[in-house]
Amino acid sequence: MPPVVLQLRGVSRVFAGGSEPIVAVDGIDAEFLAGTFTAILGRSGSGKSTLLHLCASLDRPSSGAVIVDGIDLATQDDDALARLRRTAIGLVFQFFNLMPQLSIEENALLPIVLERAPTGADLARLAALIERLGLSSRRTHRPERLSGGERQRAALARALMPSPRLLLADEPTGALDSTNATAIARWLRDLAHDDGVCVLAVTHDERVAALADSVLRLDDGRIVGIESRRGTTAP
Amino acid sequence: MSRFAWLARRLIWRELRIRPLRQGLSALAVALGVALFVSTETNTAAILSAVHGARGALESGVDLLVTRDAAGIDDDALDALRERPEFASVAGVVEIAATTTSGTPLTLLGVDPRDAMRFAGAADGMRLVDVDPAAAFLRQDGIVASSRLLAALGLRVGGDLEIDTSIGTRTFRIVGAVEAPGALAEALMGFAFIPLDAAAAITGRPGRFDRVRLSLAEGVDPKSARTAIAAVLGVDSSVKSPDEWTRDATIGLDTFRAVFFLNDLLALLIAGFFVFNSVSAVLAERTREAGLLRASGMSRRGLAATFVGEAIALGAVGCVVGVVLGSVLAVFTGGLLADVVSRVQFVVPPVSARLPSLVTIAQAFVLAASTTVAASALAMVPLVRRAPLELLQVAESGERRAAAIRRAAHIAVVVAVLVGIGLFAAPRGHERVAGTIAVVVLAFCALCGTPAVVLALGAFVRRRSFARRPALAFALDALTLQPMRTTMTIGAFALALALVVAHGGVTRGMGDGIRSWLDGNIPSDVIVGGIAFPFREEGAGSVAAIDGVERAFRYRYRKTRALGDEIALAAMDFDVARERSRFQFHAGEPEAAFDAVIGGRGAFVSENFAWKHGLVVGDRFALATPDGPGEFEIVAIVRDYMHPGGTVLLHLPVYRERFHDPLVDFVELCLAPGVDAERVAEAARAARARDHAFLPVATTQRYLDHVVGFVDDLRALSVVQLVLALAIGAVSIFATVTLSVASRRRELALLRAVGMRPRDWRASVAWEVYVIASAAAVGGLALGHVLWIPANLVFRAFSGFVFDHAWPWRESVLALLGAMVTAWIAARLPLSLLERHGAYEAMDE
Ligand SMILES: Nc1ncnc2c1ncn2[C@@H]1O[C@H](COP(=O)(O)OP(=O)(O)O)[C@@H](O)[C@H]1O
Ligand SMILES: [Mg+2]
Repeated sequence: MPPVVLQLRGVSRVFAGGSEPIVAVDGIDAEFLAGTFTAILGRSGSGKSTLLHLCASLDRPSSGAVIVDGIDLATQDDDALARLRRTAIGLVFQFFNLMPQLSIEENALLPIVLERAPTGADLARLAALIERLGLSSRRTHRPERLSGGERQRAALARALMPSPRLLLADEPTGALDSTNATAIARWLRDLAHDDGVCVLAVTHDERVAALADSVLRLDDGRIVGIESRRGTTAP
Repeated sequence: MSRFAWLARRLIWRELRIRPLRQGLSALAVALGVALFVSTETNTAAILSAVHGARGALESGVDLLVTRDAAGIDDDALDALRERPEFASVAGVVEIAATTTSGTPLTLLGVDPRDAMRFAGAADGMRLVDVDPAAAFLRQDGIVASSRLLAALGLRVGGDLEIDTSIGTRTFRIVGAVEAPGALAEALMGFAFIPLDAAAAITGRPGRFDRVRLSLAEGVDPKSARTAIAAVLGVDSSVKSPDEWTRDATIGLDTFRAVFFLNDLLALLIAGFFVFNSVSAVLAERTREAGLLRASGMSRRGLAATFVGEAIALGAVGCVVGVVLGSVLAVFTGGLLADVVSRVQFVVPPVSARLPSLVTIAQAFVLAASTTVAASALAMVPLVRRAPLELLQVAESGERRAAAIRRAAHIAVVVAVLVGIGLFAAPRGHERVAGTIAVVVLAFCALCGTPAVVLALGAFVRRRSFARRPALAFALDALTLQPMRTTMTIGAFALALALVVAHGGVTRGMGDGIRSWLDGNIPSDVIVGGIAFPFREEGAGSVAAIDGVERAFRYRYRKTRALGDEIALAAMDFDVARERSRFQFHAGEPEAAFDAVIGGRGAFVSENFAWKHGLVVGDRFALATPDGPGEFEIVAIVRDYMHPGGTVLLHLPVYRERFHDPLVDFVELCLAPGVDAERVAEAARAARARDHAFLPVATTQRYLDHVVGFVDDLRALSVVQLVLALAIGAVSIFATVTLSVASRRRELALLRAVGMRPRDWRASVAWEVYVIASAAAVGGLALGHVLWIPANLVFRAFSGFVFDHAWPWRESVLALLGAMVTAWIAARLPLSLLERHGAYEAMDE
């Protein structure tokens, strides 16, 4: 069996709301394996983004443990988490979140640059990735001049540059037309299957869900259903 | 109306409420500029009204005042004026600067007793009390002073008042008091009346008057009166109405006003910068909102109006706070300013505090509102001009603006070079204009040039630094993406620092110049006398006979007129000077020149005198002597900083013969080698004549330290400027970085999401701060050094003096260090602000 990349143990996240606290994520237990593509579905406000942020170490759970590659995130300090994010976790957002002042190439290189001065091998990998994502002609352009699909591919390039073990995508196709959406979904699946990455994608989009190995349904912060096609285990 | 009120509440008031810190800082900056303006205007108005009030009261009933500087006006001329039918009354006045024994300045007016009664009785509300008019001035030692002064000194009519004069301490019997209402009573504290003969005894010149007061006969117009005066006194007399006379006497106040106004403008420039920043930050955040407003039908003008409304509201708040602050400031600094003016310009009678006038308040509001409106308009134009759709789309990258600024930089550099060339080719007589233009243009070039260089360099470094130093790259991005903001921040800080360095350079050059001039021109080791107390030589007693004294050197300093200007006349024992002084000759052959001046065939003149009038060695000019105009030939031109109008140096015996003046200001002692100056000074103190015990005695070394100390004080002012500059720097860096961090929260959050460590983004903010500070420091230092050229030119145009260039290394080092430390401190708060925001929080906006 492929190794477990991400493990959630009784993870909850409670926000101190106005009058009463909001339980955005409510006691989730799950394990995600290398080489699998999981889609997380649920209506708006069901806690999908919150869950993803917890997995990405951008937020800390109110209770429970998030374990990435065997490391309990709660035991790590800010610097260690930052290092984890730029070496082991790739992130893709709905609205791309590219740095507006950096070129596509520079955006993609960002996690490497934050770690160390890029080597020749890094640059070769960058070129290959850009090529593979069909952005060669856009290498030196700023994000504002790109179409939505191109921007999302650039964001994907950035997420993949450090060869992450875990790729987290929050509605990656939400701002795209169907052609681009399908292309991105295929990309995510191929990453899991060909490169052995553990891919988690939050989505509304059934076309994305259709390509996933398993689908996890959330409602009110709880898992209400799992359709497993292969490789995902649930308690 | 209701629609506007609705918008105003939504768009203006909400802003003030939501961002109290930012809006508060802007309002405070405006308020500080306004406060400075209000307090200066209020203080100068108070001083002027005190002087005018006192003078007006003292000269009431007088139509014209006549003076003739060097020679004064004598009895015969007075009689000749009395013969003329144009004048109803003619009275001579002697004016003497003195102090009470407690050191309060007191102007003694020597008057004809009958005049004293009439003049004192004429002004509104001013009256003589406790006086027996008949008996009052029958006493030779009688004095009439203001009742306020007497009360302050604990004296009353019938008592004695001791006064220090140039011939020693004199005791007067108080024969009457002058009373006046309100502020006038305070102003009159600075004056007292004594009989003419008593005054003549002090000046040693009986039968001569400093001023003649004339009142015109019925139906005589001032023009024919002037003709009559010229007929009697000749053309070198000056005739003014009392108002003109006071105005001319107080013209020096304008310098202070100008200096303060410059600071006001600087402060308002900074305030404008704040408003600009604030408004552009708001715009950046509300671009979409503006797009929505426009999309839902608001016109360009409507959009502009909301922002202008906001600016005016801000200006009004700043103005109100500023007027209050300024009034308080005026109360605290009024006395200080009067004191400074008294010491360097003219004697200011005691001044009472007052409130700012309505005109001042109105001017303050115009200044404040135009600052805020101009600044917000500048920030707003790009937004208002854009189409609604554009506004709804992604924000602009700033590239276009950066390009415009780079272009401006190129122009600035070219203009600066042209101005530099123009300066050296400035036409004679236009240096003042040329210099002023140059200062302004250079300052402007620096203001946009420095930041432009930073932006260009930044873009260059940025390309190379991204892979190796991402923190630096992000800092440079932040700076180049907001070129206007960067320009304003760096420019304001650089300008403020430049003023510090320029001030340091000018004052250091001044100090060095004056020291080396005095060193060279004072031949002696011990000095007896002071510049305000001319005395008869006998007053110095037998100082020349003290053991160890080789020679005595007598020196007379007075003001006179030449070629239409007031100048200094320095008469000295040139035979001693020839042996012992080291004049700095600009022109003339020294040996021949000394022969000529000692032989009474010519005069030395100062470099500024020759420069002003375009004179060379061999030219002749006339001085006003008591016997009429006296011709002198220029035999040498030397460096001299005595008087802005120029200095003429004569041999003392020659001067005495031509000017009938037996007085001296200094008797100096040249000692034999190895004699202890302190011992001789001690002996000289004992040797002074009994009634001349007031004559100061000092070793030349101490005297020099004392005199040049004033320049050092002036230079120390640059510390005050430095503090002001650093405050400006701190506040603007703080504001810029706070705004920059606030507007990049999303990006910083993103960087954290992809794995940037807190340390790195802190480094990024630090880079931003240090780039600003070092650019401002380098630009400020460069500009400060360059400003020295036009500053010297302007200085020369006003004062006639030139000084050699001196490196203000102390100010430069302080400015550099100060800028860095300030930057470090100013970055603290934005950093902590940054730390408060979680990565995830900002991302989700
Ligand atoms: N920072 C926050 N503070 C308070 N409540 C939050 C915060 N973030 C999310 N929530 C709440 O948590 C719930 C889940 O939000 P989210 O995870 O964004 O939902 P989804 O991505 O599924 O639409 C929502 O009710 C939302 O209002
Ligand atoms: Mg969501």
